[in-house]
Amino acid sequence: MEKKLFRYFVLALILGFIGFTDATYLTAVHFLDGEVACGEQGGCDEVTTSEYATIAGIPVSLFGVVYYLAVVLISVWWFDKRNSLALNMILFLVVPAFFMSAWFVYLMFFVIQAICWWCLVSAASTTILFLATLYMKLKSL
Amino acid sequence: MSKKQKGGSKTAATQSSSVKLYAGAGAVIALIAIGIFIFVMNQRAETVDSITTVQSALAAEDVHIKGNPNAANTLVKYSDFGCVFCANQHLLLKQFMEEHGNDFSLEIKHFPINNNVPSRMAISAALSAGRQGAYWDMVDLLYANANEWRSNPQGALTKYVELLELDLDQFTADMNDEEMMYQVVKNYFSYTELGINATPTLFLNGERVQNPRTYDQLVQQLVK
Repeated sequence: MEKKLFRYFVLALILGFIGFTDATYLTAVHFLDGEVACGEQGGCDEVTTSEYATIAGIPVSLFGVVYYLAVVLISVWWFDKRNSLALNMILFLVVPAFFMSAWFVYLMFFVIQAICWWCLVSAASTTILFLATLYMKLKSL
Repeated sequence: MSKKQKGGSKTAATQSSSVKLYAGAGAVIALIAIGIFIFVMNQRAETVDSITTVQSALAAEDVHIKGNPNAANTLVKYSDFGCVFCANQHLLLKQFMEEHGNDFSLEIKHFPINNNVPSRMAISAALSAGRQGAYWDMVDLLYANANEWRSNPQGALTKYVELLELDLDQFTADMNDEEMMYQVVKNYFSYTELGINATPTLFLNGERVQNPRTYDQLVQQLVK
């Protein structure tokens, strides 16, 4: 179990860093009034400046920054203390994050109808983390 | 005694390895944050900062200038009706033009990001209202209600037409003016060639103005 947990937290740490980079980039673009680097077919600006991109004036990506930062810190804390409580803490974060991601992917494809690669990378990271966490929880039952 | 000492030193060793762990994670996080900051700032510097000539493909009757058309200071804003920042900036510019309208002229160049259909329809609505003398009123409504016309274009536009007391049949006919839409799209692509790639992009006498956050900032940047 310890070995599996070790692999799990390595994965969580990597996904946390990927998500953190991604979300920080989008947040920086928001506050520095930059523009999102996007592929030919991408509509990042359309997504990140849409009405769904902010909640009460706070960019959604900022929530992402806090969430991914928490995932990174919890993982680091696990490497330090090896306390299995860390798994529950990530579960507590990743379940709402997964459903929020799913909702945003739905909005992106069906409502805004523009693709933002950065947002998809974040959604993918969260989905992988969600599945891995679920797997670890079911294993430990 | 020796046992206690041993225990003590072990704790210290564990502590120092935890410190390294947290310091390492903190350093990686800080590096990522700084890297991104530099990347975004560099990228921002690459956006177009001055423009020489911008000719509109639109017919003269569809070009609307606010303020004093002969003013020495010309403001040109590249904007998308569906963009939140454009809407915020519009409110700042509206107030600015009310106070400095004698010394400035303002033109909105319509730049529907990625040539998107809802924003193009909104442009069409503004120009159609313009043919009945209500361009700026429609512009105000479109900026303020992007959510509404995006989700229910037909209902929303009909409502605005009633609100502005326009002739609906004439409005509908103008909305279906394919030549006008063709010119809007043509403009979009010519603006892209000029280097416009984001909205809002504001120019004063051809020089890029950094997007202001507050009204005071706007005044500071425009009035020298």
